[in-house]
Amino acid sequence: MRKADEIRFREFARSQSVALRRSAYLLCGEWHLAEDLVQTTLIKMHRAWPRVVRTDRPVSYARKTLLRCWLDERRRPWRRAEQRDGVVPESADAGADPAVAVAHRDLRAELFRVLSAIPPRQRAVLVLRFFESLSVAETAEALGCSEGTVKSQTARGLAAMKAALDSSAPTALRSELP
Amino acid sequence: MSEQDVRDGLRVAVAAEPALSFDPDALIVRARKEIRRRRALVGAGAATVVVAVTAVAVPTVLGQQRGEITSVAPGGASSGKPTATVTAPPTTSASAKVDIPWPPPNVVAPHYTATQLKQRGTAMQNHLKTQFAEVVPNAKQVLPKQFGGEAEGAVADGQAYLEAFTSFTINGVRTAVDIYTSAPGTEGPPPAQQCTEGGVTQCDVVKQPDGSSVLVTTQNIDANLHGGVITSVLHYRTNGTVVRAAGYNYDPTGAGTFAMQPAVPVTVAQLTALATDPALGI
Repeated sequence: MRKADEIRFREFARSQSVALRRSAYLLCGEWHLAEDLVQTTLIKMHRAWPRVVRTDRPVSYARKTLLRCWLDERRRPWRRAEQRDGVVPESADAGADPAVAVAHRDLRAELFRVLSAIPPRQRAVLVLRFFESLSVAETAEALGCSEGTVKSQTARGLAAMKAALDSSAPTALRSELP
Repeated sequence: MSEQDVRDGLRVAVAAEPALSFDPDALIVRARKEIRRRRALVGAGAATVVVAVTAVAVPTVLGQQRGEITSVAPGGASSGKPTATVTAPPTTSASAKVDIPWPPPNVVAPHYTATQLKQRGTAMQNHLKTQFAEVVPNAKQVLPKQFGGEAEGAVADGQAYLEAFTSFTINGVRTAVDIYTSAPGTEGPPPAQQCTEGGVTQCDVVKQPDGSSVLVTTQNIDANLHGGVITSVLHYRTNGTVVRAAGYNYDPTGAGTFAMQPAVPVTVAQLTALATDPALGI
């Protein structure tokens, strides 16, 4: 890799790692696994960087690669299984108001319980549409599917989340938000 | 639950994130090492290319290996209709040791080009278009997808495996079987690890007359998906290839309306017929 490309990759990795990890965390529900997924993604990107950097869309490429890494992780039972047993990942928010921290912890637990009840690609659609705020077209491109599929997966994902919630949960979710 | 609830919930979920524990600079060093390792592997492969091509690669890629595992499926490959093979009592259970030395010695890993992999993937996809319905006769609207790697249809030079879902409707519900095959001489899914994965409730080994082994596992994936069950049959072949057929009690492709079935709708015998089908494998 040329020196200039290497410098650009280093800048890209430094600037995007945190954002990529957030998306990965929402997909997998575990910070450590999220970090592993991001590292795998960046190593794959490093390999393809001379080609990727010329597309001027490295973020989009990174997002696609991350999704593939996660879907790959999900569908192979001999790979590491996600550990989502209701234990909320450790938080670095030590200085937060304890009451708010507890409310957020409960909300995260509920959110991941609900997210884990829906199929991976629907979860990916929800994360891309509602966390990354991608358009339907951008989400379709990231997932390699049609815009119609994104729309239907969004509707089904939301419906599945709703179905997975207890009757009181929607209120709790809403009321605990800051 | 509204879209705004989801947006807010996702935002709060990542609000208190721990500090990044990896250094991007160290990652670059790791990436460089990875590239060097891959190049070294390719170099080693090139040094033995004559042996690899004559012994493994050409017959495999051209699909000329039919009949090699004749003793696995009653009726053999020549019948074109692999049948259930789990007739012998299991020789190993989940609590016992899985005695499948893997990968077998003296098998040289071939280097497949993307073109070769695409050709092989297309051949397997076409085979499944007719064969899947033979093996799972109550499956309707069978749709074998493109074999690929990190994504459907995506292959790269040097890739050592192919994988694809075959979607179908059974009992009125959409689901899929995942077919995965790894190249000879590569690690593939490690046999011993299959029985130690979390949630594995069944792990049986059936030794085949030709010396190959069939490993059957049932895994409860509650930790990932409430009520989810995966039944996998892995055929560890004498030529070093692994072919795995996995059935799910839900639709692993994420398409359509989500529905959890009470049990995996394909039988172990059907999955075994697919995993031991000589026309599947690279």
